[in-house]
Amino acid sequence: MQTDFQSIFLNLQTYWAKQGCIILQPYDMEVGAGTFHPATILRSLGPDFHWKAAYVQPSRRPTDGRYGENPNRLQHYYQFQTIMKPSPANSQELYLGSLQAIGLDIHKHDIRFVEDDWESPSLGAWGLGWEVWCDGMEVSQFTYFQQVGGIECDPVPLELTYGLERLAMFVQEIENVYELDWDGVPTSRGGKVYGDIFNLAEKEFSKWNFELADTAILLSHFNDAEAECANLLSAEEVLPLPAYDQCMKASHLFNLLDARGVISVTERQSYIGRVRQLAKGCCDAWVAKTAESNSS
Amino acid sequence: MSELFIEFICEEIPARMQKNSIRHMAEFISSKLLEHGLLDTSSAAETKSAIGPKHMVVSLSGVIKQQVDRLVEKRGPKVGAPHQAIYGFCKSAGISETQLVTKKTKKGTFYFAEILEKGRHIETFIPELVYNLVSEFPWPKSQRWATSKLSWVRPLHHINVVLDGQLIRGSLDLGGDMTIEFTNSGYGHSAYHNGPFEISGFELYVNKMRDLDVLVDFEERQSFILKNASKIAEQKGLHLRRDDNLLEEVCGLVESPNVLCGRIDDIFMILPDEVLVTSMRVHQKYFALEDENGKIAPYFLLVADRKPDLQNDALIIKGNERVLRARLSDALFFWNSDKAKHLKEYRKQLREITFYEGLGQLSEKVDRVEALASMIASYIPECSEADAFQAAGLCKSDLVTGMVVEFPELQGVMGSYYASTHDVATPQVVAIRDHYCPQGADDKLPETAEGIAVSMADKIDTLVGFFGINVKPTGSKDPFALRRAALGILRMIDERSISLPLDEVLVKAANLHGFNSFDDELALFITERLKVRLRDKNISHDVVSAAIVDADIHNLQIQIEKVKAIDKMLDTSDGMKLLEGWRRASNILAAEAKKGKNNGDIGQTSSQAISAPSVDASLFKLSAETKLFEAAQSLPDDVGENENEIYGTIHRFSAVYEPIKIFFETVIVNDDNPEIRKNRLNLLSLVCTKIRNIADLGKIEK
Repeated sequence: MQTDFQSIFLNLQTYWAKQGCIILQPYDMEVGAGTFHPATILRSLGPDFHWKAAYVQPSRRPTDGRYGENPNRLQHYYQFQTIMKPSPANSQELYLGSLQAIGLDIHKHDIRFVEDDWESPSLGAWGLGWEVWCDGMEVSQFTYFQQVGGIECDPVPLELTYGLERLAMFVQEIENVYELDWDGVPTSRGGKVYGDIFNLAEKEFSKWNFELADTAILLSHFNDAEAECANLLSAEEVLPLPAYDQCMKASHLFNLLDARGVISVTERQSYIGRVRQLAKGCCDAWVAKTAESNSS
Repeated sequence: MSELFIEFICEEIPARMQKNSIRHMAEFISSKLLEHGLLDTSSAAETKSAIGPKHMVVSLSGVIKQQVDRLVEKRGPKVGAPHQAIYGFCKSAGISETQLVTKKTKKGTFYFAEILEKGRHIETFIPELVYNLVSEFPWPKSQRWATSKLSWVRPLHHINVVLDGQLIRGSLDLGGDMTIEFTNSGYGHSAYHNGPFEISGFELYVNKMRDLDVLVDFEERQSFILKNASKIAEQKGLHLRRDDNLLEEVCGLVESPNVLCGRIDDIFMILPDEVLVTSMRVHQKYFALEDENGKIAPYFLLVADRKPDLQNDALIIKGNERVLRARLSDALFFWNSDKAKHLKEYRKQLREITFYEGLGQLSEKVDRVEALASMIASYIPECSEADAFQAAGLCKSDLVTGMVVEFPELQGVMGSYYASTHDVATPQVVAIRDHYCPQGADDKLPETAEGIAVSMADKIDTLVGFFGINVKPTGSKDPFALRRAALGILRMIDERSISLPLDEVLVKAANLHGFNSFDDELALFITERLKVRLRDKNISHDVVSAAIVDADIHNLQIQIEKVKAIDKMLDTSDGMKLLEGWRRASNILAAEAKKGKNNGDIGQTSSQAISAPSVDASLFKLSAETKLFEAAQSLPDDVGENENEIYGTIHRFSAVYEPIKIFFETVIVNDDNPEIRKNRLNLLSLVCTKIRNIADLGKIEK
């Protein structure tokens, strides 16, 4: 079985496609996690009784940047995300099957489901589940969503999130993310490792995130996104999808401001509250609008 | 009697919830069965239970299959009521009019129907029992799944119900078109076994599960892990660092425990032991090994959930070592970068952190604790005020270091390490380390006088602050652990015999917060906590309430010693004599008070304000009066200042008994001369008043 980085996510895609998931592409915006993708957040609510999707989502966590020097931390990394609504009766079995599909023999490795309740204050969302350990390494988050945007999920979706770099590092048995074999081609023949592709980006973005980003501009962008979102939600024709784009934007701008260290501990709560208001507004509008079009 | 076996199989139950939940399940089932006459609790009956990550099993051996038939009486209309009413009643009760009986009640004579209620078979009762168990289960957090309306801790898949080896049919309706049919199918370890086996009873089930690689009994797993961990430690010439909480948690994470030993790279061994142990425990749930001096050795123990296998074990160990290296690299990074700055520098960053809304920033708390610590230090013998002050100023700095942000439980400890790398004086280092102690009734106290001073200052500041903004513990809610803070202060005062004017310290603390004085309820809160503590130390509650003066916190050390001395005295025969004499005297006074013959200065009840009544020696006619008067006058008005004085004072009180006894033997209080009579009552009142200055013996129950 091929264990290079791209084979891992290709194999995951193939596996989940076989389980009936539609394979989507990343959402074309900066987000902190695959959960933000409308295919997860909005579709966890919404009109579809059945919704099964899988996709890779580049995720940005500005505060996790380490100037390309820490072998385990990145400000930009990949999540593989699977969402299945209603949660299947054999959720765990399906998940373990996906590990087999990327070459992890679950009979040989020590797989553990360790309590880890998930909560996203800025999305008004929570769920119960576990982090999944493989020989002591956290390789996935396994969550049964209970609420999104403050709204009860019914039916309950199952969200699986794989940290692709960690998973690949585990499979390839290496300790430095920048040494991950990307394509299975030896470097002598032009093959690439993770560092070839992302090391410079990590350096540059760390510098920008932590030192250079113009906080006045970021702040005004945040306010603009917030205002635009509110406008779209109160317009004559309410537009939850473009509104939600603005919500994602605001959330990422908040993360950037946070990395620049200009948000005090007390202010933090209020920013998170503002993003949550946007998220709730979008979710409410989406539920209302889709229910309407469904019934007409 | 029958054996009823019930098993719930669900996805992994969080480790921390397992023990409580199985206890609840066993109690719920047996109490419901008992309530419905379906359980015999006589000698042979037994309840067994077992819990693992996915299995909850309860088995009861004293089960009764069939409820006894009961004759139920139902009251109908009054005799003489319209026939229509009687007819309607018979119809609803399902009897004919000839079966009616009449009975007299307090409200008149009524018709009664005697209906034989057939006892139910347990089979019809179980589905209801299971539904109630699930719908009322007190999980700390629970969830729905798929379309279910009912919640459980994690998705619930199978319910096995077996009575004397036979499956009991039934089902649980989860709502949302989801149902779980009762089965009798057991499942072993999912990594090795697929097919179900037929369950017949508890003992066979436990053995079969063991064959299928699941140790379903929590205690069995626990002792298995402990035994194997100790064995590995021994082979390496080391000892297991005991951690019972970790052991319990790990036990809740595995079905087929396999203890394995990995190595910690030498480069990490420069980290403090606390960092190594915490990093391993919190993130990875590994056990640490230590040498004979208690120093952490370069090994860790992990408990895998896989059967032993040389090749796989090596693979699992290798994976875990890799993860630990990444974890410890982080810790090493924090260790090196945190050390680069002096704690004084970190202190500045505390301005950024709110202590609590209304109580200012953390930096302000540090300023207050600093001032309080040096004040408190001045009351503690051989305590350096300067060191206490300096230590207090640095004690919270580590909260903004990378290591403590990552591992909050290392607060204090990291501060002390960082302080010593910058040559902070040892007494300050130790005080920084210890100032969070004691964290409860069993935790250790700060080792040094300066540590005590800083710890008290920190806790007093917290108490005065939260009470000042009216955030107080209510019922079981005490989110800022104010009870624990008060207990900590009391333990330090008691166990280190610290004599300190707590009221004055509290006023100072209040002023530092910008309040005029401390909240009134705080003094009472503290003496209430003191009572709880003394009772916990096995001093009888009546002695505690007799001796403690509510809300008097001027010198708690004296209050504590007084309670102990009175407790001791009442254990002696002299003490019992005093109690007896006091009771006779106060009974007479109470009777007088009741008659209303008193004129205000006799017969006071214990709740009334006490002033010494005037006794006129010239009115004495008998020597017993004189003797009692002299004895009473020689009694001290207060209990004394230190331990020895207090014991002496209390001891002197027992000397009053003989004069009281002789007084009652020879003197008749009710003299014909009202002046003499009143004087005698006043004399008894004087005796009682003197005793009441020390303790309210009226509260003693023995």
